[in-house]
Amino acid sequence: MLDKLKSLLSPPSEHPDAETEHRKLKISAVVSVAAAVFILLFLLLCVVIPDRGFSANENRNLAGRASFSVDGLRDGSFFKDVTDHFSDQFFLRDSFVSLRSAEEYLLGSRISHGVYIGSDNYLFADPETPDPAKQKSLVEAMSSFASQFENVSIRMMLVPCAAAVIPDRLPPDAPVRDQLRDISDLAAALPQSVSFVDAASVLQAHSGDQLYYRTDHHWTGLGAKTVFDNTASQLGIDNPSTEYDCLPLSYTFLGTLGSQSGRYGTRDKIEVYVPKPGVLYYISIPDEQVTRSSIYDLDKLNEKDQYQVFLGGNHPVVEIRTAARTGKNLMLFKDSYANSFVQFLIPYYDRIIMVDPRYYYDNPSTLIRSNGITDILFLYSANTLFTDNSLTDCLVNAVS
Amino acid sequence: MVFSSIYFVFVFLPIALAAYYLVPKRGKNIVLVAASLLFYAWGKPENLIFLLFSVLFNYLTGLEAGVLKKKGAVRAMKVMLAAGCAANIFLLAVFKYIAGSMPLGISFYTFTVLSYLFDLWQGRAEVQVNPLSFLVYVTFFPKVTSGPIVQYADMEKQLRERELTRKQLYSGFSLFLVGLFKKALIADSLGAAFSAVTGSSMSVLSAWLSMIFYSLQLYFDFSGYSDMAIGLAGMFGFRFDKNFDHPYLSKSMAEFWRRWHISLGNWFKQYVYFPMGGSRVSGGRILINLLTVWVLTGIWHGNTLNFLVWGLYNGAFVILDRWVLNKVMKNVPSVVRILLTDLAAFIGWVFFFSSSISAAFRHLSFMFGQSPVGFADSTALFALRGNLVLLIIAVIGSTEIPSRIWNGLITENRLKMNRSLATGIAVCGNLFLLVSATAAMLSGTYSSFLYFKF
Repeated sequence: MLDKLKSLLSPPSEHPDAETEHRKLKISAVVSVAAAVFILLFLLLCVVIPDRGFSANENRNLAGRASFSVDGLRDGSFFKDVTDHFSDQFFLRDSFVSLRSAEEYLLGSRISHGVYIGSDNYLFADPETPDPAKQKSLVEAMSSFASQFENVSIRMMLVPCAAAVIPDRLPPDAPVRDQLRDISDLAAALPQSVSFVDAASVLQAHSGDQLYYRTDHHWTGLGAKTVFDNTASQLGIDNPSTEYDCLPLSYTFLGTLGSQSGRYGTRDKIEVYVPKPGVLYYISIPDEQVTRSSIYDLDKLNEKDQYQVFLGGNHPVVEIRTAARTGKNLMLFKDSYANSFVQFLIPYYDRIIMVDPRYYYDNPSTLIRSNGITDILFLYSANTLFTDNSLTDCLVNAVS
Repeated sequence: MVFSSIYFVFVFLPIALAAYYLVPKRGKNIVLVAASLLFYAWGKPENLIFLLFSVLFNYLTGLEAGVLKKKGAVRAMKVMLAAGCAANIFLLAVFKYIAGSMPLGISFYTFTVLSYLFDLWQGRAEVQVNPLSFLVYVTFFPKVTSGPIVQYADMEKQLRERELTRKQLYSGFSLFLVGLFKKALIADSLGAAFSAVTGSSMSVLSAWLSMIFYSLQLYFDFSGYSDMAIGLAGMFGFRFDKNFDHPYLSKSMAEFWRRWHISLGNWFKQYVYFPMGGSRVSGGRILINLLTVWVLTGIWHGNTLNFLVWGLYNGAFVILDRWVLNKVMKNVPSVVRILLTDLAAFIGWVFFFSSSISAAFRHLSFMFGQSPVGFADSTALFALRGNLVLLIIAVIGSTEIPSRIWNGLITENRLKMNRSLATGIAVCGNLFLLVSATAAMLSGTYSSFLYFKF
C-alpha cells in the first residue's frame, strides 16, 4: 500500500517513453472532447429552451433578451444585458445553484448566500444590527405619539428571530449578534406610556417546540399561539380561550431562507389556529377592494410564498370587524409577523385595524379617532423594526 | 470579460474557437484581433480607445525606428525608442498615480508594448511592419488584461507562423480547465472566507486566517488565471511559458520570486536588471540594481505607499538571501525553509491587501497578540470550521501532489489499472469538476431578492 502511494507520488519520469506520450495525448483528447460536449450541449439547450420570465426562488424577473442600442453599446450596458440574460436563463440554473450549496455544505460550510444552515434542517437569517441614531428617533416618535393618545392603552411586542430563540440549533460558533440584548435595550428605552410585552422570554421558555419555520424567517402558527397564550393578560385580554382547531394547510412550504440559501430540500408545514368558540367576523382589504369572511387566503397556497395564506400577504390597511361586542377596538402597527398573530386576537375586539407603515403613507390618527381605538399594539419582528424607518415616519406623521 | 464567467466558457470561447479554426490561414489573425477587441471592450467599450491608441503609437514608433535603423542612424533610432518608452511610461504613470481610474489591463499591455520597443533597442527582434500581427501581439485576449507578459522576441515568430496541432488544442483545453477549477472552485471560495474573517477589529486567529486565506486565494486566482491564459493561447496555436511554478514550495524568497509571476520577473530581469549590469558588477552596484527592480516591482503593482513598502520588503529579503540567508539557512531542513519562506511571503501580502500602511501594521499587531477581541472569537472559529477542508485542499493543491497523482495514476498508470478505467476516472473527474465550476459560477449570479423586507 505504502509502496503504491510512494510510486504514485514520485515525480514523472524525465524521459517518458512514446507510449506515455501517446497516452498523455489520448487522455487530454478524451477529456477535452467530453468537456466540449458538455459545454456545447448546454449552449444548445440554453438557445433552444424558451426563456423563463419570473424566478420564484429568486423572487425576481429574470433578465430577458438584451435589446441592442447604440447607447447601450457605448456605455457597455448592452454587454452586461447579454451576459445577464445568458446566466439568468442558463438551463437548470436553480439546480446548479442548489448543487453548489450542497457541495459547499459537504465541504463543511454552514453558511450559504448569507443564510446559516443549522441542525435539524433549520435555516437562520443573520440578526440585523440596529442603528442607534434611528433607534433614538423611533423612541422619540413613540413617546410624542403616546402623549397624544393618553386614553389609549399602548403596547409594544418585539419578536426575536429564530437565531436568538433557538441558538442551540445554529451551526457551531455561528457569529450571530445577540438580538435578545438589542431587544431588551430597546425595551428599556421605551417611554413609560408604552408597555412592553416580552415575547422573547416566552419563546425561549418553549424553545423545544417548532416556533419558527425551518425554511422561512417567520414564526409558525404555534410560535404565535405560544406567545399569545402566555401574554394575553399583558395585552389586556382576560380569560382568553385556550382551545383551538389546529388545521394544517400545507406541507410544501419553501420559505424565503430556503430560496435564498439555494437549499430547496426541506419543506415546511403551515398550520393555522382557529379559536373555539369562534366569533363571526369579516375582513376588508381596502387597497384590493375585497371583503371576505376568512382571514386565510387559500389561493396563496398555490404561490411560491405560502406564508401569504395569512391575510393574503401585506397590505397598507386591513380592517377586521367582528361580532364580539367587547367594546374594544385595536389598532395594530405591524409587519408580516402580525399576519399569523391576528388570528388569536379576533375574538377579543370589535374592530381590528392593521396598519403596515411600510405601505401606509397617510396620517394614522384619523383612523385611530374614527374607529374609536381603545388599544394600540406595535407588533414587529425585531429584524424589521431594527432596519426599517417607516414606523418612525408614520408616527411622526400622526403627531404633526 | 473574464475567463471564469458562464458567458465566456459557454458562448465566447466556443464561437471564437470555431471561427478561428474554420477560416483559412490568412484570415486567422483577423479573427483573433476581432475576438480580442470584443473581449477587451466587453462591459466598458471606452477602454478600447486607450488600447488602440497604444497599439497605433507603438506600431508607428517601431516603424520609424526601423526606418532610422535602415539609414544606419542607430543613435537616432535609440533616441526615438527611448522617447517612445518614456511616452508609454508617462501615460501609465498618469493613469496610475494621477487619473485615479485606469483603463483595463493598462499595466500589462504597457509592459507588453515596452517589451517590443526594448527588444528593438536590444536588437532581439525585427520591426513589425504588419499592423495585424502587431495588434495580435498587444491585444491577444488570453493575455491582454492580466498577462502573462510575453516578451516580443518570444512571440515574434508565432505572430507570423504557428502550427495548429491537435496536441496543442487538447492540452491547451485541459490546462484551461485546470485553471478554471482553480479559480472558480478554490480561489473564489477562499475569497469569501477571507472577507468573512477580515475586519477592522480581529481576533488573533482571525488575523492569521485572513492572511492565510488571502495568500492562498491570490495564488489560486492568479495562477488559475495564468493557466487559463496559457491554455487558451495554446488552443490558438501559441506557446507561452508557465507563469507560476509552485511558488509556495520555495526555500527562499529569491527562489519564490523565480516561481511567482515568472513573466513579470523575467521582464524586469531582461529590461531593467541586465541592462544595469545585473550581477556582473560590484556588490554595491548589485545592491542598487536589486533595489531599483524591487521599487519598480512594488509601484507597478499599485499606486499606494503600501505597494512601495511591499516591493522594498520583498527586495530586502532577496538581498538578504543573496548575502546572508543563503549561508545561514544552508543546513536548515527543507520543510522549515519552505515554511519560513511562506511566512515571509504571506506577511508581505498583508501589505498587499491592506488599505493603508497603518491598516497593515494593525493587522500584524492583531496577529501577534495585540487583539482587542482575544485569541479566538466565534467569527474565526466559524470560518475555520467552515473552511478547514477547503484550506487543506488549497494547501495540497499548491504543492506538486495533485499533478504527480494525475501523472502516476492516469498518464503513466503506475498502479497498472485497466486502461479504460484510468481514462474513465480522468473523464469523470474532469466532468464532475466542470459541472461544479459551472455551478459555482452560476451561484455567483444567484441573487435571491430579499422579499422579507416587503
